[in-house]
Amino acid sequence: MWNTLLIATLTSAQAHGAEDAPVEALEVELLEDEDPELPYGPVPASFPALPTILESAAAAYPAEALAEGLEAEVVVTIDVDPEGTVLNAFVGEPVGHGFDEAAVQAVRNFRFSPAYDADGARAGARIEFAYRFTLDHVPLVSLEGTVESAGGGGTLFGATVLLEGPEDARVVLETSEEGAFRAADLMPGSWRLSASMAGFGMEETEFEVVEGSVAQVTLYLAPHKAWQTEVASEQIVVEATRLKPEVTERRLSAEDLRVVPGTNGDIVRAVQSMPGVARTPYNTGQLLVRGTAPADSRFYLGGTELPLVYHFGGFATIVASDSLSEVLFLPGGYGVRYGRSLGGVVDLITDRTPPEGFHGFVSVDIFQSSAFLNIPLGKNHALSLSGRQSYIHLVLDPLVNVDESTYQVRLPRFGDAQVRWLHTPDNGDTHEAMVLLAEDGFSAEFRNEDAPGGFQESVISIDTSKLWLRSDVGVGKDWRVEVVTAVGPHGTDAEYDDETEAFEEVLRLDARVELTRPVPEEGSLGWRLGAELQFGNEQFVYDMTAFDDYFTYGGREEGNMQVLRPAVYAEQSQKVGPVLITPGVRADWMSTDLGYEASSIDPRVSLEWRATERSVLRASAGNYSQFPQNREISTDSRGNAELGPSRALQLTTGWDQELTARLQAELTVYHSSLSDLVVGHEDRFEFALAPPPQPPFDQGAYANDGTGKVWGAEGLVRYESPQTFGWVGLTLSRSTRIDREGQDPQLYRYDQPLIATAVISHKLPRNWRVGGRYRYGSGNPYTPITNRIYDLRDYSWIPIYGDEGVERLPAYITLDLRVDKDWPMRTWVLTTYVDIQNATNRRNVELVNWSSDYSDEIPVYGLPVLPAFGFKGAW
Amino acid sequence: MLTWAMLALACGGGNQHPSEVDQLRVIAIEADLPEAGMGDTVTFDVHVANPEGFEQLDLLVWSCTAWEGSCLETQIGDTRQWLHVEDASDGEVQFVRQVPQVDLDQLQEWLGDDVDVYAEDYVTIQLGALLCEGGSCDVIFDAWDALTYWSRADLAEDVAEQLIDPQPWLSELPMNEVSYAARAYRLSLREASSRNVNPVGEARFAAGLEDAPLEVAAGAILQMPFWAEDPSGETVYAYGYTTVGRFDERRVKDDEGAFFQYFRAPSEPASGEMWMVFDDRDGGLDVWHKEVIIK
Repeated sequence: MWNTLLIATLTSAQAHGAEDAPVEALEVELLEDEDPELPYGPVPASFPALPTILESAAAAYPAEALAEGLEAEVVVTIDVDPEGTVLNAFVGEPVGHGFDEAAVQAVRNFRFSPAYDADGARAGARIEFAYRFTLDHVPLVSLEGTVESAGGGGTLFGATVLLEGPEDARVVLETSEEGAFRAADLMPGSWRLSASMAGFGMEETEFEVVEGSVAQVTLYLAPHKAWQTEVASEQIVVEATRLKPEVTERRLSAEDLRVVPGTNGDIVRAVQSMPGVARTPYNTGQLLVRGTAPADSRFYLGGTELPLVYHFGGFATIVASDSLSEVLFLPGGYGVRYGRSLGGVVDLITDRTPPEGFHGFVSVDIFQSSAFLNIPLGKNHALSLSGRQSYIHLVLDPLVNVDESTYQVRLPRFGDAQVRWLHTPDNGDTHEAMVLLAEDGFSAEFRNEDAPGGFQESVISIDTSKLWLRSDVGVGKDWRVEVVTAVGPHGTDAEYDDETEAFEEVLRLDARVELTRPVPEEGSLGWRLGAELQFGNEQFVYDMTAFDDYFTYGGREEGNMQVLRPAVYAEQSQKVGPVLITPGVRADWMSTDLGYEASSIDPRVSLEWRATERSVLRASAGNYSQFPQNREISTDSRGNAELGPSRALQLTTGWDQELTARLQAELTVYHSSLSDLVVGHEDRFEFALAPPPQPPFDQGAYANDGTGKVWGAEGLVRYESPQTFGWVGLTLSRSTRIDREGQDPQLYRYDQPLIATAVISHKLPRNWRVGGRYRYGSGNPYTPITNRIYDLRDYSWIPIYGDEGVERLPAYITLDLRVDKDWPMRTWVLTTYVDIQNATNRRNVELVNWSSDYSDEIPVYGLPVLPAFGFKGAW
Repeated sequence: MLTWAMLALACGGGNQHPSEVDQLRVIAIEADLPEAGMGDTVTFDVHVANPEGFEQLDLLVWSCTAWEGSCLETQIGDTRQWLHVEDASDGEVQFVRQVPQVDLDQLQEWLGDDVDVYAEDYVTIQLGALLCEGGSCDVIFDAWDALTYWSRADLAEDVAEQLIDPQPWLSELPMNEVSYAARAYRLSLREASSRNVNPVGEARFAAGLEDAPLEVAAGAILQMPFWAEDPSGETVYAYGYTTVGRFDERRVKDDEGAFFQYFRAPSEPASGEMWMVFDDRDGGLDVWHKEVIIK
């Protein structure tokens, strides 16, 4: 078939302590008929032994050399691993005319028997192989082709081309610097060709090899990162214990998260499928982390607190995903960088990679449309523009307005826009500036016999504007300083009638300065020193007496105050052998111009013991504090200025185990003791789209009387391969509270003792991807109504409640499915998808309502099967 | 929370209309004197809906001195003055009571210095009515014993204790076999001439029917004009109830004395009752009641 001089020189036998010295030259046999039962070929009769060729491949004769009638002998140095696989191949003395590349290409497709050391153990080896090109036998070129980026990015160097043909023939090629590949002496018949490359999707085609002709193929691979698609280059970081320089992290690629079913591609919503996160009714996107309320968790943009992260109803994140590189999720037990919270933390980390070129996308689905444009401005600057507008109400309004006799709901309309400038100097510093605008609207028409037409419209609107600045600068050896500021108004307003007044307005400066020094590779000491500041005017009025016929809202509340919340924190990481100990302390203070003052000092410590290369034990203990809300301390209405912060003592321990390169497992156990929780006025008005507390309400004055306990275990097994990713998460937990002294412990209203989630997504040939998500969650507790009194004073019913929280809603079970398909074009890529939420159309009970006389429980069901279609054009 | 409630209620749907009565219920406790002075004789009418057709109904009516909707203490002493038990199987119970003397000094002591009882125009008496399917409610047996052996103050005290805090024992009773209702009644401290009086409501469209039932075609929407006069000149509201079909509105406000309610008959033949309660929201009541046949 082809002529070669099979001479090899064993230059080193590297494995298992073999002497690193040249060994005498040996002849390598070409075995035509290896025993298929022996994966490494026949065992040599004596040791040591050199590799022998088990499979070979033909090199295409270089066209230029063939035209000039040239012959050559190319000596290729080959590194063979203990499995007999070619690890590396290169030419020490090039002969030119295309012979070197052709020989290397061919040799890469060889498979060898392994080398054996003197003890008979398999070993890696470096051999030299002489590949001779002679005109006596010129292999016939069967296939020529190129691989290009579908985004118009040109040809791709280093792409892997796999050819599979008749009789299980298999050839692997690599594209040249010009993106070209050639194959010779292919067996006539049907062949399948697939091309892949890191950062790109796989593309496949079929071709026929006909003797005497050359097949021509051009493939366009869909790039994942370069397009900056809606979630491109993003990652979610699931950190079970703390933030510090050498943290144990769980990273899921952005490409994976984009296709998690049931999230509409929103990677922040994907956090909800993680262990420790309970599900909110109607999947509103709010976080119930480790038995805490939504208001106990905090959202950040690069370290400065955001008033909200989701648009109304949690349908989308207010910051364009394209501007983000990571979503950091800390369910508890985190370090001193974050505070003023008893729950979890979600920090949106902006993308700070240098700009890669002019690109963008336009995306349209049945809920919203969005667009993104990245404009490079010279080598180190880039400007990006993004925007989004929803029309989800057009789709969902008919579904929720089943009975329009009393209410007519107009689901949220939302939009956002961002302009971002990024400067990435060559020294590794980054400077960013972003203008963030977001608005939401939500309305409902209430039955009102006194209003014209019998209905009165209620409108709730939310507006957020932020100017956000960040600089990350190196200062001296290993030290960096980060300065982040955000300033702008955030307002929420309810309009109903002249008697109704409800709004919140916050004009605030958020700032953080942080000095960090990670634990150096060769060192043992790391530092994090920081200061935070929140300062601004915060005003609120809640007076919803017009809704007395529908809800119980207590009385009017109002307040207008200047609020100052500074904090300082310090953390030191000390490496002692395989153990990293990180003690730290955080001090927070709060004051208002109305004379309110409160402070807290929270010591925290974490420990990480790398028991083996694949095992890590983690543990942390720390205090966490959360200041009261402004309404709870406002002496203008019914606040209590004597309130102090709510507190938690959190203990966490966990074990991470890398089972295989693709399979990882984690087990975390946690316990949180809550104290000084603010209780009282449970009937108050809230803007939040969250399930309200269930009557009977605690209508007493605000006080730090609440205590509670949260404990549980979280397990996570994650699998990731080039084709498939997924995880199985299991959470067992219990959350109890005592609101007032003397009461018996009661289940917290978000207590969900068992939560199980399974997510899988698999790439198929031809740029298809399919995925599914299964979720099981215990139903929330609720208080039954055991009887009622008919109040003849106003002809209304007064319910009599049974023991609090003794009933539980049925378990929530849902299956979401998603199918994606990329259509690579020459200069752009079209992506289409179907995301089906609740594919089995299961009627999950989200909460219970009662008939107007409280005689019947009426289950309120979640959304039915909801298929979302969408497409995106990216370049 | 508001927005959540909007969404949740919209998604819930199926709420029963307030005018529909499909279980045992005390519709109204009517007094011929909406404000009475101490020592006055008052006639009470308790209107009862029994859509499920229980054969025997027990009714317990009681009173207590109240402030802002809560009983301060039941009147212990002459049990017959504040407790009444009767068979309500006929759907309407009438009884006569003499308004007891209220110890204002005692009331002032209960309420403390924040309220000047003597400056008030009236003292509120809360009237409670418990309607049970025959034999369902032990508290009615206890009340009957207390009335029978009225000299046994300990029995009356035991019943009083139960009635002041009805929630524990109400929680144990089957919801569809009992109805508990409460209303405020004014014990006036003013001159008789300045006291409120009841409105007078009428259904002229049914004037010729007298005791005959109202007949409505199945599926029909019947416009039902009512008139009411309030001698005190107060605004009157009309609350409709029916054991078949439904009224369009929970309540209607008078328009120069006229009310228009729309009755939606069920699509199948049926029979039942309907009530229109005229309320001046100041203690004054009048109740119109009619049997209805859907053909």
